[in-house]
Amino acid sequence: MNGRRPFLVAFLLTAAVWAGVAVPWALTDHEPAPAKPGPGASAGPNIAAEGRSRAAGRQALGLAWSSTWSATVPEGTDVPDRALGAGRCSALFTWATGRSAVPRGTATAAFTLTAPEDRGLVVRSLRVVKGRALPPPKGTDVECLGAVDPGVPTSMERWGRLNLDRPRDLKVSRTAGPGATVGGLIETSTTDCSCQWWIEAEVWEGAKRRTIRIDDAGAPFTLAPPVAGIGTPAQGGALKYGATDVALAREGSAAGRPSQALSVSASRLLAGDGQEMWMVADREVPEVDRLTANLDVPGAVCRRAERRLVADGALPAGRAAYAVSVTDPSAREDLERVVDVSLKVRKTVREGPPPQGYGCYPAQWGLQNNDGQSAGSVRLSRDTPHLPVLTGEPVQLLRETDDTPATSTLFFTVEAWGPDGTEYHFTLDVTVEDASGKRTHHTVDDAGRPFVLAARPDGMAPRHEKYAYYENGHKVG
Amino acid sequence: MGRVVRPLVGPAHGEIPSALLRARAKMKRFSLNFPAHSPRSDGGERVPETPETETAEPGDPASPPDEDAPAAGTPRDAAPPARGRTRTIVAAALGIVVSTALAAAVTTYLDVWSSSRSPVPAGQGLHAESEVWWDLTRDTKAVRIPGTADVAELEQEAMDAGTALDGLVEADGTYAGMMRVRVTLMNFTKVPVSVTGVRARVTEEEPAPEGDLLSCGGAEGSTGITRLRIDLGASDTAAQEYDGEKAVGQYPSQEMQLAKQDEPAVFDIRVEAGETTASYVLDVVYQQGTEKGRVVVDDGGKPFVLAPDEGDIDSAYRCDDSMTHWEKQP
Repeated sequence: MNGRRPFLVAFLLTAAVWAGVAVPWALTDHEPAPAKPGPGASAGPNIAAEGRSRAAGRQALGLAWSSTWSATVPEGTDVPDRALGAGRCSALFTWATGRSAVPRGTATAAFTLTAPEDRGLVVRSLRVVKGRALPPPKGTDVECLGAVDPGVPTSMERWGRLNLDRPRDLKVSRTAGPGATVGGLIETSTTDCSCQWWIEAEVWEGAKRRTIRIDDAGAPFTLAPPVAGIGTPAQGGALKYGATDVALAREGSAAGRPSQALSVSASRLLAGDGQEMWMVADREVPEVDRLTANLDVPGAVCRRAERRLVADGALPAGRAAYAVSVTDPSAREDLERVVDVSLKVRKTVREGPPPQGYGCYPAQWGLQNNDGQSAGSVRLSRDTPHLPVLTGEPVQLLRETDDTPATSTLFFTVEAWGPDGTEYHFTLDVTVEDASGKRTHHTVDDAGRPFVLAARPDGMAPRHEKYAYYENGHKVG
Repeated sequence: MGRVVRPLVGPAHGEIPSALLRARAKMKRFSLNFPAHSPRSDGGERVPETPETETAEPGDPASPPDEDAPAAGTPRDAAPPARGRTRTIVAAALGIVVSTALAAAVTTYLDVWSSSRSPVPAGQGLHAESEVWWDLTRDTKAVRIPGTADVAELEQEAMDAGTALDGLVEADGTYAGMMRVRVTLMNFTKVPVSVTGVRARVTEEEPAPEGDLLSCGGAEGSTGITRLRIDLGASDTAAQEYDGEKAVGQYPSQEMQLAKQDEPAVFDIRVEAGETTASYVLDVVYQQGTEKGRVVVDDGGKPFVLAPDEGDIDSAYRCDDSMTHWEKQP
């Protein structure tokens, strides 16, 4: 009897077994999934069989204003101008992730788990799993300071920080009722892994235990070792006070160690929850119209409208507050400094149709909020090569932890009143003198562009604008 | 017994090579003349006997099968079937291995292919969060407790009346009268989600407990600016949309809530209590592309609970303007 017949019979029978028995068994997930996905296990874009929990995940910018998002965009792509500068983090993130940028050092993932319709879900633990190794990314390094993802609610829970180099299970106990969702943010870091990764959640669906894989819409997340920061040590120093985020880029790889020299940075403070918002835009912004359709959501309307206008390139108008951060990484003793700040101002008149004005009064607005901490204020009226704002202002550098450089932040207010269409473009000249009398001079702009403040006619307030909104109600805490 | 030689590849049926015939003849003589090994009767070491020298006998004809069969068994008759069995087993094993390897390769390829970047299908990737809150300038935040309230102890322990009320609920109390629920919908996909309906679904009801009622806030009054409202005591617990005090219809009527990947949908609903203590969840129905879906909004894994602020109340207390003291109401 020759061997071909038994070979063929065995081959076909085995194939039938795999197709008809092993795959459904694999989908049932009796045991926790292995470190590498086995055949048929959790493949595909997070679709589960009917009656099971569902999972969805995506990359997120960061956990909070203190987060920095850093990534490398593949070679051959120039960062567009609209994705760089103050208030452009969301645009930079969208542009970079659309080009398969690989996060560097730290990656944040947002995820959600939906319980089946007929039973609840309890999440017991979470872990990050290292996948296939990737070649070290090459290309343009991009960075975002103040990495708050606009698509993630501020109420979404930060579940914790995990490390690909030292995997561990994050023990939790989170519940979702039938048909409800439970989700959060996870920050994953590495120092030497250039690799794919995903999240595995151990859950109980009713009485049934499962392991659910959470990835980036069907593909693993990616992460590579950290690179040197792009911004100066002072950049981002005012984020804690509500300054705009900053989007930066660097061609080629970072060389050398971070600078230990004193650096100065400045940024505009957003109106946020406490200040009335006043901006002018080149065009009507329909998205703002939609966000302000329901003003009965105190604390959530003006802030979102302002963020949308800033991302769209709208300018602050009438009055704005600015923060100047002075950082000295090498300073350990003698932390007193004396600071002079002046503005170099250029006045222009907008050509074409008048701008669209937007005003918003948040629920707990109080004019004094930003002004209260101002060390000085100026009013702009014409071209001025040297307009002093702060003179001989004493500051005390403070080191919050041993790892952070000594920093101090000053505030000042600028007002611009005049005909519609008038704009003031300015940079800051900052002189810092230490205790020995040594003076350093710094020219500071708005993350690569001059600061711009549009003028408003005297006597006008945000409520006079074409689009004016008042949040209803008071939400405290 | 002598060693039986089995050729790996047999000749065609009926044809036996002459070399094989000679080998068979030799082995027959070998097996018949060589006694079985056995220990010497005196226990000494057994010395193997010298095997008989083979004598070449060319041209020996094939022995008839019955002559070749040794007395002790039938290895010669078993040789062809045994050979075929081994061949079958080996071929079958090879078939299993090749099939398995091919299945693994195909599945891995499909796993990689299907795991390539593809959008999350519509109907998935919506995340709902909720927050219960009160606007104390216009809302009355109240808690109903079974039994008697020890207001002196509350004033000693709690920093403010609002915190005291939350502490009572954690113990055995229930929020009463009304609450505001802020719903945030986050969209993980690139397909915008529009909310097409919100409804409270009561999962459990029971009579309000006898006992005391403690409340704070509501100095400015007015519900006129609340756009979305649900009345748990109404026959229809769908969210109604208001423009001032005027009801404009079932939500959404005048405005549309959209959840986009870079902008969640956020809205507040003012929920009024009915006549019983109701445990409820919110069903949010939405449209995503051509798909319809529903997500349940609850209070961190458990239903919201709201009791009436009227009925069988023994004593009622209100906090003062500083929210640090409680005054009994007449």
